[in-house]
Amino acid sequence: MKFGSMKNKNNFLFFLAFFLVFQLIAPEIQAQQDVRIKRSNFRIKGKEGFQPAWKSRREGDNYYDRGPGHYDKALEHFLKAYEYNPENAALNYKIGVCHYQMKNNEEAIKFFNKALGGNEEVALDIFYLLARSYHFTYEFQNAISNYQRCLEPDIIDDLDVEQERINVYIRQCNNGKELVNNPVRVNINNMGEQINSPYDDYGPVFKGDSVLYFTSRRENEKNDERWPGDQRFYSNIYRSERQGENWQEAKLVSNEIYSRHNNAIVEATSSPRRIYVYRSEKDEGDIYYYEHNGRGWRGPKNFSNLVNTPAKESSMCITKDGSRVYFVSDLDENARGKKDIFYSEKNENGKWSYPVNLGGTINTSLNEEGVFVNGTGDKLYFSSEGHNSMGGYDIFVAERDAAGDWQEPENIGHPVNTPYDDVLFRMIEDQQNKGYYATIKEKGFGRKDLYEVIFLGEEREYESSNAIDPIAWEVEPAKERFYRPPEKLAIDTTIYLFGHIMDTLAGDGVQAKVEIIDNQQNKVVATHLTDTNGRYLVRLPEQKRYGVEVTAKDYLFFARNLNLSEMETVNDTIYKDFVLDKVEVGKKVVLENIYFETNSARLKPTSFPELDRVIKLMKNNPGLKLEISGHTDNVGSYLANKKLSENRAKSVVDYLVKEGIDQSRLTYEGYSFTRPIAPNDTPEGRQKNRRVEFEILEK
Amino acid sequence: MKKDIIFLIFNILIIHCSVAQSIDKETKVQFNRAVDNINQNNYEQAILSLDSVLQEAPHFKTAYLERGKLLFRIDSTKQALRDFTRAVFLDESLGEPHFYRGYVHYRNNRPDSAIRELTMAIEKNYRKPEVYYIRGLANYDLKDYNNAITNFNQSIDRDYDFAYAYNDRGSAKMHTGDYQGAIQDFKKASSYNNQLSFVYNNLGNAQIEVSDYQSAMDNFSKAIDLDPNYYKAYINRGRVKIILENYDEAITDLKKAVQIHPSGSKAYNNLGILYLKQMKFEKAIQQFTRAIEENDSFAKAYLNRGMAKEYLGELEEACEDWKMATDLGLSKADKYLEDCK
Repeated sequence: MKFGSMKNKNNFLFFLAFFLVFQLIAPEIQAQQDVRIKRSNFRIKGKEGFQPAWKSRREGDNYYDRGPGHYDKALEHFLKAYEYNPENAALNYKIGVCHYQMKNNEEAIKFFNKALGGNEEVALDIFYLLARSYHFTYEFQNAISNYQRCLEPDIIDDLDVEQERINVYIRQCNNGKELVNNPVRVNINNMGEQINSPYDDYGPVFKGDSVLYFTSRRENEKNDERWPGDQRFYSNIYRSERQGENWQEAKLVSNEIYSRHNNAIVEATSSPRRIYVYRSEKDEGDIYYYEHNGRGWRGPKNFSNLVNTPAKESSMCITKDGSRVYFVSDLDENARGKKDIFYSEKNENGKWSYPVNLGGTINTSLNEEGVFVNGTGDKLYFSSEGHNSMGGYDIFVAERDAAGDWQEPENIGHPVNTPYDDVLFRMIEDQQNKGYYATIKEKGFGRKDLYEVIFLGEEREYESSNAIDPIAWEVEPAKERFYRPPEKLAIDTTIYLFGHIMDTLAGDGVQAKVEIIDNQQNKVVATHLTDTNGRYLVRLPEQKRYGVEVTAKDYLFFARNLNLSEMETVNDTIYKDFVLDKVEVGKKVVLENIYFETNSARLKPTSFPELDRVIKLMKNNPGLKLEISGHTDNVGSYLANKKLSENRAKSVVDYLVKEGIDQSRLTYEGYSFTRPIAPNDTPEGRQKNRRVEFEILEK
Repeated sequence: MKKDIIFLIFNILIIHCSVAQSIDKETKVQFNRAVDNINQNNYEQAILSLDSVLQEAPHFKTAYLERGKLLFRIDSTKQALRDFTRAVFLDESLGEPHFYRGYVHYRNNRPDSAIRELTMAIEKNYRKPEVYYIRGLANYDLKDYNNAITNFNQSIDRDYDFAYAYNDRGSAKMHTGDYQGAIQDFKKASSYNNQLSFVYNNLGNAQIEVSDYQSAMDNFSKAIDLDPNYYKAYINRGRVKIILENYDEAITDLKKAVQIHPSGSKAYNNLGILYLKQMKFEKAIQQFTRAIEENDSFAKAYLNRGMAKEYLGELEEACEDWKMATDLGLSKADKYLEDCK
């Protein structure tokens, strides 16, 4: 597509001066609805404070009517009036407009809705402004609803916005929903206070990877004038160098390049060492370049008459090899949209060719801006209001195919792109995944700031840690579960008791019966009849305490407890002889194992085995007559002991009689302590003296 | 080692000379007294009794075995091992001493020797469930998970309610990729003993592998209920919450893990990942760095830190970290090094 004819150069040149600044970054200027705050509506009957409030309203209106650059002051005064009457629809509308112009969109929404609540017809463009505010705050559905309201006949016919533009916004909102739901993985970092300022900072251009040029509308020491169009400082070019990871404080370019009025950086090359600027003086507005000759910057020189036209060339990028230049211009009558991207090639003679429109794949019926081609020339970055922008300009990237044609561009995604103008994207040579651009974000330094974007690509798979205790034994060894305690060994505890039963006097063996009694179980565990030599041998289960009973004809019985465990063994045998007394008149036998209850004559049942032996004796010897006698120690009086001993002897007799012994064969007597058999001065002696015995009276 | 050999030979000579002697009654009584002491948990007295027994009857194999077991219980494993060796020499048909020798070897990180001894126990018909269980553990240590599972199976066949065997079999199945089988085993373990926090923790980890995140979280919570200081469960619950993008709660869990166990590195690693997910790369790097400070061989932390550095545009530093991860044996890091060329 060829370039069109020249238009009125002077007029266009004037607008060139502020085009880059104004069109790209200035707030949206709408022909504000002429909304008047009526006195009669504003005054509240009976409420004090009307006069000062009304004065504030007037002062606010004064600033409001001046337009851009004055809304902050207008707002200040309107808010004072608001304190008096917060419900006035027209006042709320105007406050909303102030906020909107200052890009306080959330506040703008609040006041616009309040105004609508008071009067839906307060201003024709209120739905439009509300839609825009919602759009900028990502409330796309609310924005669409309000845009659609604007399309209704009662509004669109009188609204100073084309229907087509509103349709574009609606499409952008739908794009926005899609893009926000599918964000790209990026790391966006503000370039910091060394670069950014409270004013608009934009248009980064890199020379190599360590020198940054950019344009800023900050106040500078050389010129404190403000451009009348928006009351902001003129734009100028700043430079910063990187040291290590950090950019140094940005400074105004050298005097050789500095210009008093709107000066913007467009491109910088290393070879030749040039910077290209967009300059607007009194009657110029084109791209110039300065070239460094080793001693200083020389220029400005007109870049190219074919590129520089009376139209607006707002952005430019020269390929690395210097053979092609891409730029944005709007003076092509055959352009698809108002501003399109063109390119021009350098021929053998160093002259630039006629610009060629990049065509419909890249350019749209809306505006394109901010063109940049990467070092290898196969990726084209640009901003566009068309394609699937989510609002204003979005940044797109297109790749060149093998045939050299540009493919369908892709939106580089949210959060890089926003509903605001996202423009002038640039990359540093050889850095494939990093770019720089200007946009407005909440936590910036003020208005547009420069940001670094790192494209993170697909999320990687991170290596997370799981903390486990796989082996139970290592956590808590349950040793006890596996411990098997030993079993006791079976021990053969058989013990033999061997000995002789002998006559006490003669020493001869006596044929007798030997019985061994387990006192615990109260049963006979072994019995042996001796031979004529009186020899006995019994086998016992264990070496412990037993009762031994030996009986023989014509002999008094022998009954005693024997603790075998205290006796020596030889080859598991204990040797023990027993002697028996013959039944002789006058013979006395102490009855062992006779027990009475304390201080009583009542026999304990443990006495019965011994008494049963007496019974047996008497039955085996039918002629036997006995005297049962009771004896005590010498503790207590004679009479008391006499009585006790007598009663005890009687108890024994009673038992024997009860068990079948003829009463006539028994007598009893209590001797108190008169017949001791042991000294009474020891407990053992006294124990022995406390006894029951029998004496053989007849046999 | 040399001392042990000499001791062994000396004992062989003594013992073989007296093998033919039987144990007298007094010695048996003394032995039974030792048994009484054991039953009353009077281990020291029991050992003294057995010492006396063995002085009187140096060929008494059962006494060596029981003394060895007691010594093992009180962690005198070296002396215990000697007693087991003596018992074996006195009676080669005994299987139980081989079990204990195997057990001692396992405890002393000699799984090969453990397996050898335990196998001998089995060959000598000492086929108690613990023999197979310990052999399973030794297989596990040698990363022979299939044989570990086989042994745990046999242990379980003989001792069906031993929760540990189910747990450890489950862990072995995790390594063979049988996550469902592992889940069943951990559940079984918890059914036999519902007081073991680590079982719930392991169960949760298995459930993560099959993407059953809610169940995993529930089980980590159970582990924490049983043991509020079980920091591993906090780490794992935090990990699940990261997966579910519940970042606020994940931070709470991971910080709790750090509070309980400040020198542990895994919590820091997971915290770093959480910050990566939230694209807070500097914070992520801080956490990975802390993880590495606690464990300078933590390959995963190096790998992750490299990613964070790359996201910040610090490719050179990222490459250093990935190289370290590779050097530490994390093969996944190799593909990242391609970006460094």
